[in-house]
Amino acid sequence: MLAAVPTDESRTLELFDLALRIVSDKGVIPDQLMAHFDAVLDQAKQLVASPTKVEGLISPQAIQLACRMRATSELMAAVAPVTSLKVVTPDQASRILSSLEERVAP
Amino acid sequence: MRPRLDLFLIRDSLRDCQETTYFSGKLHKFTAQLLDVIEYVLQNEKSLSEDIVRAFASHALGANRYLTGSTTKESPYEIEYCLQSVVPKWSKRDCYITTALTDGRDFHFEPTDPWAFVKTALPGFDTNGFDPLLVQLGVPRVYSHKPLYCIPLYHELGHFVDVSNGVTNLSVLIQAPNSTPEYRHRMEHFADLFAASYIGRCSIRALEIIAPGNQSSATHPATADRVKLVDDFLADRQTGLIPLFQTCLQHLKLPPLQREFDPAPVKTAFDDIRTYPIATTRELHGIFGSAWNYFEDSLDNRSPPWVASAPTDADIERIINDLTEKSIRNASIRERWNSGATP
Repeated sequence: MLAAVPTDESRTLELFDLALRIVSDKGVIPDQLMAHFDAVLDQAKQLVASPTKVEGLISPQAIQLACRMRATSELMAAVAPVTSLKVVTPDQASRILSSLEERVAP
Repeated sequence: MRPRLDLFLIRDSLRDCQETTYFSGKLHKFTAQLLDVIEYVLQNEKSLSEDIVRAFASHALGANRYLTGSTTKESPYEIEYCLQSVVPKWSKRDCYITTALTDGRDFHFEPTDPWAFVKTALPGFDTNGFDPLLVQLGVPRVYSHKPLYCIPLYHELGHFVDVSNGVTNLSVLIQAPNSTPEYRHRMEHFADLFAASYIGRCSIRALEIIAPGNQSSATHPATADRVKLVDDFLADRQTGLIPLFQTCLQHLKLPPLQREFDPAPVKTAFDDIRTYPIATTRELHGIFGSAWNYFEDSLDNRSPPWVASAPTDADIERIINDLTEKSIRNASIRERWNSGATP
């Protein structure tokens, strides 16, 4: 195979990953994509803290991200200061992306 | 290979799909909407991020493959009909089941959600609320009209329910597995239990025949472990991973795994080489286990009308698969007739 193709795991986080790639490339991010990123990250942090205490509907994207955060300390550290995609710099986005690289849970 | 050029090719292929006689109304609309997005992306490519165009092309290419498979008369309509009746319980969104016929012996599920992608990454395109999920299943071509051999599709649908809701991943957060293989095994166990909840033991009986005595691998648990967990589940024993999965389903506000079938008493009808009149949705799923048992019994015991050497084993297989397929088809026709549905 010439290049890696998306797997179940990477497809789940596709939009989260896409938002980071656009920031990293200094592109323009649609508002909806930004809102998606913020919602997924916020819920993933709640899930990492307490997976059975999250209120409301839990998104599979947030669960997947929480699994990756639990599995990768670099990712956990890279997203810790991030509260919104608005404040993420291209360097930060690259750092999160590299720690988010395909890695199967756990 | 440039995403823009790929989109031209996909557009042509999807247009061909739309002209086929065997296309369902729902998939026709799905394809028409997808063609509209492709036009939108081609016309607005310069204002869109290159990453977005590339990712969209990947979605369109995947959808095209399975939509193309669902346009042929080889498409396993009957089992798609059975699976379609399962989905509403496990997804709040409309789900369309599509199949790609494979030349190997593998069944597979491939996740994709093109409309979530369009709504989020291409907000300039108005979907008008159209956002069905595409459940993309791979079916060996040689089995496409042999419903009893398509039983593994219930297992593949279990993977869809798992991935689209995050069941196994939530289990990882609640109770971390010790290794990556253990995580993958959990996914297989969930799909096994899901299949067993709809079609009973025949789901795992198929595995016993295909992979008897298989040991644990990096991706799949040992056959014996899979059989044991399914047998425990069907006997209402809360062992192994069963309580963990049920806890996860509860947190995800999904129904528990439980028996969703009733046996279909096919013997009298099948002995007369007649189809069985399926009365309920629970029987629609139950017919797989009942017909499977009838099939194995006919091969092994050769009771009437399957006595002596004629009919051959191949004849028995063909006729019983045929009777099962036609029983399901009759049920689908009756349902459509009663609901006044259009194709």
